[in-house]
Amino acid sequence: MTSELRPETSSMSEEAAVLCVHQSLRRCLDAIEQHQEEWSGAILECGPLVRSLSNLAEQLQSCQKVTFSKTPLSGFTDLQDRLRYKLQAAVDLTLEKLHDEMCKLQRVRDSVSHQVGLVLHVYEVNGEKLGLEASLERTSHSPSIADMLEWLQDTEKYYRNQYLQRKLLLEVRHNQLSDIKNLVHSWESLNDKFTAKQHLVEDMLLNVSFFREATS
Amino acid sequence: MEPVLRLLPVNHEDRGTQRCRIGPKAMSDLGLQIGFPLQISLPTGSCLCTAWPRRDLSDGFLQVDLMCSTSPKSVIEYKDSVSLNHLKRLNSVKLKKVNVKIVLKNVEDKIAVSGATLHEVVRDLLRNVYVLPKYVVTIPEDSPVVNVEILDMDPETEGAGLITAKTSVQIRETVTVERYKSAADNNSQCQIAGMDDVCTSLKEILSLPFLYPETIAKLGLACPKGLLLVGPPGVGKTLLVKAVARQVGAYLISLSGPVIHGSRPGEAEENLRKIFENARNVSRGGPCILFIDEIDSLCPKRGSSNNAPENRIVAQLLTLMDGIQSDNKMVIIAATNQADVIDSALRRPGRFDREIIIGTPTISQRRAILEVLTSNIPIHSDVDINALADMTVGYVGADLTALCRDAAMQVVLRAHQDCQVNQVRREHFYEAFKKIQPTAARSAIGQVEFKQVYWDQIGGLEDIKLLLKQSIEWPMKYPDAFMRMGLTLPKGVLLYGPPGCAKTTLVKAVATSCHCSFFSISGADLFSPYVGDSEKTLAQLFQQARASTPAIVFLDEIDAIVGCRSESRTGSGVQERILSVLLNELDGVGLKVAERRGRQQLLEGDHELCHNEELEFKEVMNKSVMIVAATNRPDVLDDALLRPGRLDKLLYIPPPDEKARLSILKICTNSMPLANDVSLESVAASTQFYSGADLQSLCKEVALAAMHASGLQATCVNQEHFQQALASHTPSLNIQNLHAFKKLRGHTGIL
Repeated sequence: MTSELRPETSSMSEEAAVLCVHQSLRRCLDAIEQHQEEWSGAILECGPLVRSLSNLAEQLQSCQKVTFSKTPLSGFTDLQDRLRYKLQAAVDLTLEKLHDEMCKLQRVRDSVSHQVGLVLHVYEVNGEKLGLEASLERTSHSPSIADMLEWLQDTEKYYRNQYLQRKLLLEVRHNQLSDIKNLVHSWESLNDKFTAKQHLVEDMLLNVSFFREATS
Repeated sequence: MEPVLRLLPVNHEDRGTQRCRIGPKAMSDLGLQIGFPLQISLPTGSCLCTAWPRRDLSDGFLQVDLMCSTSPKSVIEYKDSVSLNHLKRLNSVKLKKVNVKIVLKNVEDKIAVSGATLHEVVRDLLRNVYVLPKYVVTIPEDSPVVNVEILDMDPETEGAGLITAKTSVQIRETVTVERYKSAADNNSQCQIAGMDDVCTSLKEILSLPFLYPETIAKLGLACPKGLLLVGPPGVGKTLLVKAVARQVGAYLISLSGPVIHGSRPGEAEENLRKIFENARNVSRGGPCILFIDEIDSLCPKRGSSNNAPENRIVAQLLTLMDGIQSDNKMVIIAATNQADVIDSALRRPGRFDREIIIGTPTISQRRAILEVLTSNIPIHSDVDINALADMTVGYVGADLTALCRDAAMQVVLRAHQDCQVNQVRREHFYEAFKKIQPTAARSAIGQVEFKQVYWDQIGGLEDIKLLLKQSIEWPMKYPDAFMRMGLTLPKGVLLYGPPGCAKTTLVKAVATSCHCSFFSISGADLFSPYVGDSEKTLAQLFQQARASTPAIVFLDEIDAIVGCRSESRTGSGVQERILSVLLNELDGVGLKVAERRGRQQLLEGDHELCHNEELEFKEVMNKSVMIVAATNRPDVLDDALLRPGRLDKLLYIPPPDEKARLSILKICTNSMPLANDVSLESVAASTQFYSGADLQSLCKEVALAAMHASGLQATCVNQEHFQQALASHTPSLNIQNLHAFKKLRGHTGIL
């Protein structure tokens, strides 16, 4: 009712603002779709690496436990040291590979943060013109701007949190082998724990698919 | 009318997002856009959120995520509702710099997580969070950091600061969560007063190792590890430890008997070891105090108690205390009120290095305590703290607290009646003062209640009254004059004279007129079938009296209590032993160390340290205990008791002369209807050899005689009745008796 009473220019600018926000939302969502593929790809690649890391840690541990002089291998001198050196090198190599993957995750995180920040900025700039009602309006094929902003914020937080948790997990020290051994469990549980949020990004992308088609 | 919002618990998915969900109408009322910062003031604190519309767009509800609030504990109570003016829109400002204090989950993390990683974690956790100075950000996720407290931020604005990727985050302080919680828990109510010197020395011991670790290491010092606080109950030992722990910033672990003891044998030792282990862990993260309250019950003397479990606990404690390395930032403080029952192995350097004695507060300490206690009570200007401190002789900190509480309660009760009193006035304190007895008096021997007697209720004896005032009242009221004239205070006064001549009544009047504690002891209190018990009781009486000085100790019928050594008996009787205790208490070598009060200089004989202040004089007087003894057989008293320095003032209370008898009769017949023909003068003239008590009983007889003559309807007393009574009454004094006293007076040459 009120919109009819408004002057023409105002409603024009409101439409322009809505359009502007919608466009930036769509751009961001497109980017997130790509990033999500990158992210899940990286996570998938991390899986075997983490498993082999914990495997190596177990080997290292066993290597330290065994007294080689009592085994048939006692003929080989300094076998224990050599073995340990080799395993250490393997651990370092795996950690390096994992680090590369983490870099990918970090890139995703940073890019998503940037994109979401842009959208929020656009919303903030246009917020005055947009009005609260327009940003709360939902239609059959598009969620409201408020909803989408919320999802974007959640997504950004999810990436950030996941990255931080995984990074902290990989901050292992070589002398704490049991920690490395348990790494695989905590790594997996990180996926499990967020099952509620696991499909957060996918769900959001599904929710906004009509919107993206409509505005493209 | 402002619309009211109902508080609901936050949705699970909103946890840790700093969102607050409100309805769209409320949002537009407040002029809020999505994601704008919003300050919500709740009764128990306030929090900072970003505004988001509810998913269902319904109005009238409020869901707040308490990620950033004024206190790390939950400030919300879901039963209250919030009106819209509790919500305040803030401007958002991008911060350049923010200083934070971080709270880590445990000590291991503190050691393990290196500086750079920690910095990154904190930066990441704080990203896109709105903060205000002094607010605490709670991290809900599983991370080593639990809380982040914002110390200050740049630029300082009214609005909410947003931490962006460009904000530089500086970590100023790192603490563990348990330490942080304990600091947050006791942020108030720990105020102590009147123990400044003790407090400073305690703080010194605690903080030196933390402040100058290099110096101490260079000097090769082993820092003190243990402290023993000794003092009567209620004096504030536990409070002192708590306050000091807070001031030093130390983590306080309490250890008490019930926590330790268990049903299984060996469980107590195990618990003890666990607590020490725990303290050792905590001390890795900073200073730590292990506080053992009532150590006397935990570690009694091993030899005397035939109790194996307790002996084992003592042994375990000794081992554990020896096991503390001096580089550990851990101090053990124990408190007790009976230092002599603690196992002596504990009381040596290396275990409890120092012993601090806290005595019953002296007048200036009481004043300081009262000032602190009354600082948050609305006090009317007619309340004089000095006068209160003067009155509350023998009160310890706990008693003074009770006094103030009771005075405030009086106001509450009165306010209920006439709805306008809201300040605590003097009469409220006096009312409370009547109810609250000092703790020391609860178990005291010789504490008596008596009807107050004023000087004018005693007829005659004007010169004796003056002498008594001079020797007892003046030193307590005008100590400056005594100091100026270089007088030492009399230790004791002996009142002697024939029976019934108002010796006891005079003492009552003394006790009434000078406000001091009054102890009266008789043979019934002292004598007991156990050997040594009587002496102990007497010594304890004096100890209590000294704790609540100025005090008067009254020994009625002293001849029966102490007897005399010079008689032909062998000197092993209980009376001789009591006499020796009394002589020692009156003029012994010194005071027991455990009875020290106030500053140490105020021991016996240290007069020269006092300054010209009246209070200081009173402090000196604080250590005076005046002995007043009464007897009618001064001839059997031991000579040692009567020499100067003990009972150095001997006052003969003579039988009343004619003038005195007249005034006694006037006082006794004050409430009697006398006929006009009664001549008290003639009665006074004809009652030679009557003592005061005789005259009192004579008056009773007279009234009875009047009732006998004219039945129960008797209206007045005639001279005739006096004559009747005089005829049947014989005086209790006689000429030989008085002669003996006169001879004695001549012999001793006093008066």
